[in-house]
Amino acid sequence: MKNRILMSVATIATLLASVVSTSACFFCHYQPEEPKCLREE
Amino acid sequence: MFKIENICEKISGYIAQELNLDDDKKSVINYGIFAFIQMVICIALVIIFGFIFNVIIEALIISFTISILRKSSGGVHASSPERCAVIGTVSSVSMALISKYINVSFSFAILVGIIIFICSYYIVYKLAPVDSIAKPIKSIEKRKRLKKSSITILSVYLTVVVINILCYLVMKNFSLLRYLLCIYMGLLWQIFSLTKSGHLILGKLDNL
Repeated sequence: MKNRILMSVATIATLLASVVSTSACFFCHYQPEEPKCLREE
Repeated sequence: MFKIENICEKISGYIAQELNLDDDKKSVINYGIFAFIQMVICIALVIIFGFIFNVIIEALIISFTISILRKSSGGVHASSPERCAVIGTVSSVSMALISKYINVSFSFAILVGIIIFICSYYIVYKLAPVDSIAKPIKSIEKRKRLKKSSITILSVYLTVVVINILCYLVMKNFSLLRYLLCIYMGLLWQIFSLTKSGHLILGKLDNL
């Protein structure tokens, strides 16, 4: 059960990270460094 | 000291440990969690201070006008998430207060709207997307796509403004003019953050 919840959180977070990586910046006035694997080369 | 990054790091570290994920996946989860928490904090602060100053709808309209366009057009950023939350809240609530207590005539609202939208289309066409060191946009394809979506968002705003004006003409409800001003101010703030002067002034605000 705990793993399922963690897996769901991880999936949603990954989805959100991909959405943010396809846009110009974050929703707010702060942009943290993008993870290397999401960066375009 | 309470730091959003540390909390996200702890949550993503725990998830990665429990699910045996590698460092790459952990950093992506951390990035996603941070995006979510930062967004929730920013919206919550605007709601709380909007409620305190009795400008909740106006502040939310301004905040969403800025944020939706910001996602594709980019712009200047604060140096820390805490400063971002403060700048975002103060700017949204203060502009909401201005829109509430300023009296504008219908013709003035139309004239200002025309000027703001002409400037916005021009600046977005010339400058968007404005990237940052933390998230550089190198691909020409992506730049083109973001510019196109910025222009589409601007067009959606224009449609909303026109519908708002038509509703005002029918209903003669002054609140509609106030909401119109909120969209104008949010748009101005975001467009300003794309320019060099915006970078300079908001950079100074960030250093306060």
